[in-house]
Amino acid sequence: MNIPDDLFYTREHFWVKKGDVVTCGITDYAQNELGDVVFVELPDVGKKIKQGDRIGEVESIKTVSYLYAPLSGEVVEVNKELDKKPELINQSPYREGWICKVQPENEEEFKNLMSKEEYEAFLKTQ
Amino acid sequence: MGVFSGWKMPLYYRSIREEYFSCINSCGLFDISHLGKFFLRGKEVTPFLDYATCRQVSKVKEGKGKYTFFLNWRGGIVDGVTIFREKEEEWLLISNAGAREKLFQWLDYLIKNQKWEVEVEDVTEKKTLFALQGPQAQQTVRQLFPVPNDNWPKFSFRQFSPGFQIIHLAFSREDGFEIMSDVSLGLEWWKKLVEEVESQGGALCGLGARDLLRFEATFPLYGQEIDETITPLELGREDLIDWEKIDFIGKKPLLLEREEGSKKKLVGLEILGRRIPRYGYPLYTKEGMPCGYVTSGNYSFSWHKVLALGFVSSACSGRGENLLVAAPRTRLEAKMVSLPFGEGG
Repeated sequence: MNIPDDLFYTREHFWVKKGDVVTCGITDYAQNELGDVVFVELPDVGKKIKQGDRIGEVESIKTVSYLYAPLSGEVVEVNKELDKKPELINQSPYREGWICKVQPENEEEFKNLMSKEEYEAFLKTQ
Repeated sequence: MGVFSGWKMPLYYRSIREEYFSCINSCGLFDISHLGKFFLRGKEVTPFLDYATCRQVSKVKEGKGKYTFFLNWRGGIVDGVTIFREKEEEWLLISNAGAREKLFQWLDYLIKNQKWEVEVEDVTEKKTLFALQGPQAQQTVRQLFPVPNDNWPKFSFRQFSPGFQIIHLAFSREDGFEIMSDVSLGLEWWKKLVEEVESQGGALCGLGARDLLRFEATFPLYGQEIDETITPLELGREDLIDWEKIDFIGKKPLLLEREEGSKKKLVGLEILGRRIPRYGYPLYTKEGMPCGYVTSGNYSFSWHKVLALGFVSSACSGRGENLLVAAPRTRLEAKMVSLPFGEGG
């Protein structure tokens, strides 16, 4: 199970990379649970989102699953490549399979995210 | 891992995509020991099977087999099974996992009530069954077993020792073999098969790849395309009914259905977009009239499209028009395509 130590995590298995604009996607654990992804419904660019909101869906051969916003803010970019190659989520969940970039509006919300160690411990309870 | 008909089964080992392509390009190995396995023996076993299924099995010679349906009195499908003539008066029957107990009860009821001289033994938990699927399946079998260098027709089997046989059969468009052995030897054979398949660049495969392969081949699955409310005519498989038999269970209602027309028909659907319709999603006409439901849906990695099977009322299926699938929170557009999949492009 790949859990990079420079990222932050949500209980809904999103990862977040901090920066002026945060990049996010689903974790290696989540892609493995979903199995082969064949479709990703991405949020619209410009959309205002709230932490915990449903912002999209991932359809795999096995199941359909929601995407939940890791932070509040505005969606500034989405990974259009996923329209053509949704399998990037399976192949490279932390790099080419990123889902969206968000301009966060509330730094306080970062406190709700987990570190690598916390996420590891959380996965043991799943 | 998932639970399927009470068996804990891997949906995939690595990924459905990789496993699927190993079955298309080389060879995939599946543990399908969960399938129902029965021996039927007795003086009247062959006439019994002729009466209880819709195909003329008495024509089948020793060492060969057929796919057939057990029907109920209304012509509905109790299960779709492969049956093999082991000896003059002994048959092996392989059923869908989900239908195992029901089928056993149905056979038991018929035999006792109508006093057939037939014995049924459920050997599901005494026998392992492994499947090799893919263009290299035959080569793998020939590497491991002393197979004579001759033509081995599909739907025939070779017995290698008591309790050990290999059947030329695949639940797929590709070639395949199924290897049945006593449980005591099963693990040993499994290890040998894993080694051989992996050395040839093949893969261990789970139920996900198996389901996609059977779906692309338009083979019906129990509980989805097959249940007791569905007839072989509705399934579009009149080719599996031997009308010339004097009588078989379900013949009369099927004759009537053939005369009057089926109420519903299985259709193939190509879905616009990449969302996968799942079992039970309702189908509507473009005008918004309910007309049926989805039985299976999947994404074909070979044809790069989402396909589905479903039953629609005959009035709709005849017109070949586009339909709508009611998926949660959205409607999917679907185009009717001919079955089996893949034959009309």
